[in-house]
Amino acid sequence: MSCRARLPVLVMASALVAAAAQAAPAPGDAVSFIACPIARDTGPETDLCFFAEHRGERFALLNPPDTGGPELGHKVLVEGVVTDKPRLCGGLQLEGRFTPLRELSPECNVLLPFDGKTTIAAGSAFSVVQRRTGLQELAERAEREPAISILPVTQPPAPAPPLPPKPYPYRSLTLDYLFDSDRGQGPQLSELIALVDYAKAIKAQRLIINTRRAASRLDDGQVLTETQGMGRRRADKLTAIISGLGFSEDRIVARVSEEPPAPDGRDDWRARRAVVTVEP
Amino acid sequence: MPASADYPNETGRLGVINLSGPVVTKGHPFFTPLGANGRACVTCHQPGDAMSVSVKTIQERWTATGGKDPLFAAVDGSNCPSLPQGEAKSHSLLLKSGLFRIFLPFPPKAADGSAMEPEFSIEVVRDPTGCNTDPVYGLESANPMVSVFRRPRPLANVKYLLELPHGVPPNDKFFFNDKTLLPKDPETGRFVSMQLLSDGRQPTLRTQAVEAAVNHLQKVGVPSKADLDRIIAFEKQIYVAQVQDIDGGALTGAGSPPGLGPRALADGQPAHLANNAVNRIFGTFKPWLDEGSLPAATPAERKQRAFRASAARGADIFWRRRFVIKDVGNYNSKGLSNPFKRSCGSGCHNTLLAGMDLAPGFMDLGLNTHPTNERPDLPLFRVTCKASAPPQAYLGRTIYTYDPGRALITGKCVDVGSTMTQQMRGLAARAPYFTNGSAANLRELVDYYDRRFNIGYSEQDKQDLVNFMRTL
Repeated sequence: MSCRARLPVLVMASALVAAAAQAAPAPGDAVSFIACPIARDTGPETDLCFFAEHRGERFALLNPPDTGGPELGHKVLVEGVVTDKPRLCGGLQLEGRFTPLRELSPECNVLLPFDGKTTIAAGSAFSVVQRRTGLQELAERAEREPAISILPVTQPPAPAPPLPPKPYPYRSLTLDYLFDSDRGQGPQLSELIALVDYAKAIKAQRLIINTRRAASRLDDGQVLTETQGMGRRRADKLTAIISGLGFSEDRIVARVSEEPPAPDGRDDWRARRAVVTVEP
Repeated sequence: MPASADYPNETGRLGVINLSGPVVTKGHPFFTPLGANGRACVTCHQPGDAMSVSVKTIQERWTATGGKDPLFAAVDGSNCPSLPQGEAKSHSLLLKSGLFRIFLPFPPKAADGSAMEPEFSIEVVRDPTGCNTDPVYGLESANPMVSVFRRPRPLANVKYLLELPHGVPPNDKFFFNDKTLLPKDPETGRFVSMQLLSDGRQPTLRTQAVEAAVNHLQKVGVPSKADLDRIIAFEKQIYVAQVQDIDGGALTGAGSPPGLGPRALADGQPAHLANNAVNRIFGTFKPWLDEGSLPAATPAERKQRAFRASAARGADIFWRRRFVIKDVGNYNSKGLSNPFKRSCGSGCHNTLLAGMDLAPGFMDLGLNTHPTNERPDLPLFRVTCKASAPPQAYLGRTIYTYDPGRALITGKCVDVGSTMTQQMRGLAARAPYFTNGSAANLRELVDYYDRRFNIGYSEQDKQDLVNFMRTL
């Protein structure tokens, strides 16, 4: 074997030693890395769970509902701070976000079988749809009274809260985004609908949108910057949504920053946001 | 047309209810040719075929008329209008797979008719129909068009298609995938569901009727408001579902699963998520499981109870049996995960009593794209997406497709191959299945899923699923 061929092996070996020498992350430690997601089956009656490995440690891949799921075939950008919550899917839980990166990475294709011990609780973040334990009693009743089984079980929406007394207060909402994405999250968009309803009800003077483009510093020092124009895209999409929900477009003010704040490798995911403020 | 009737099909009878009472078809615009080619709406939306048209009906009409029936109009009832129209081979896709030619402008046009710059280019790799390379009708013609081939969707039970989703905020206002607002009805300004067509290109029954009159019926100009109002009123009040099975006997009445038959649909509440232990999408089938424990007096009774028990098991498999759903563009990639583990009912077919995706669910199930489906009879396109465009989630920026689907409307690379899930009622009356007719019968439909997702259904599982779907 030539020296030229041997060099990468030596580099890899020293990198492994360096990684092993690092202490295991503790609660409060920040991580920011890109890796393949790994899926694990958790049994015939439960969902898959996902984790990613970084410097010899596993991190559970969890996002808030309707934010974005890990995808085999794509790497993930993982950003967050280690929490003291119990391990999930064999991984440490983070306060943060992960972003599935849109470019294809066919090498990310590991689906581990159920190992007989890694389980996820009913109703956990990995199992949000099918396990509605509150319905069990009704389901048993439907076995005795079949006609019940074709009646909806979804709940009507809660009525809008009454308006506060005048003078009407400012109200604002922060929406956060995954890296290089303008897709909002379902629960936050429900809040946005309520905010726009409020703005319409009080005949607000203005509705101000502040958006920005952001960057992320990885643990290896690399800085990833969102696509140029991402702040504008977020603002334009929110403007279209808010006007489409019935608030006059000529009273919407969009303020956009395409200059990313300096990334610190700790809270960078929080910089990918829009703040919508109702100005009475 | 009576207020209530049933029509025979290969496995039983389909029940049809006109909720507003008998319909006088003579002079009614749904039943009257409106354009130049002699077709009416009913030509391709037959009550006895669950308001679609089955390949059996199509073949019967070819035989009876020697191919002269307006159903075989050159514009879209043949593989290409430029072909000799008297020959069966010129209509092979319609005769074999029940497929009509859908021709869409390329580059796509926005809803207001303005030009759109798509994120991709499209080339014809091969086209056994010849239409996409045709000098008059093809992609390089003076009026560039992409010709794809699709089944007519069942135009019944439409309240389930029109109603916005209940109980799943904010998805009564937002499109689940990208969280843009849903489109709006151009007349009322209200949000619409996008469930009507496989590519979501028409927002309302009215705009769909206008497009169909012009494109499929070859009417010059738009139908009158009075005609459109009557067409829409008819479409909104007709309900279909299977009511009798040759093995299972009567599917409705005392002791039957409550979700079967058109009356359940007419009385039911539309657009509710039903992937829960109470609803199980189509309601419980337990009455038929209970029946299996009773003594059967005759061989006919034994056969009936065996079928019903099988259908009930199929309903349970449909609702309960999870499998790993992987690499489905616009499904796994819409924020769920890849893979995602769900059953048929808890995954994509989750709408109470109707069985389509409430989301609404544009997705590339693999039927429109190579290599997950092999369709040598269809045109094959190579779609090449711009480097700056987000790629199709699992096929990247170079995609081989028989039908770009939703992408021909949005111009987006991520949408290549995606089409909308369909309602699952009246299945026994309207084979073949899937948007491009890839399954000649329900068994082939089950086999496709089994192969595509490596589910491992047993022979009994497959038969149970087929029997269950026969009853819908």
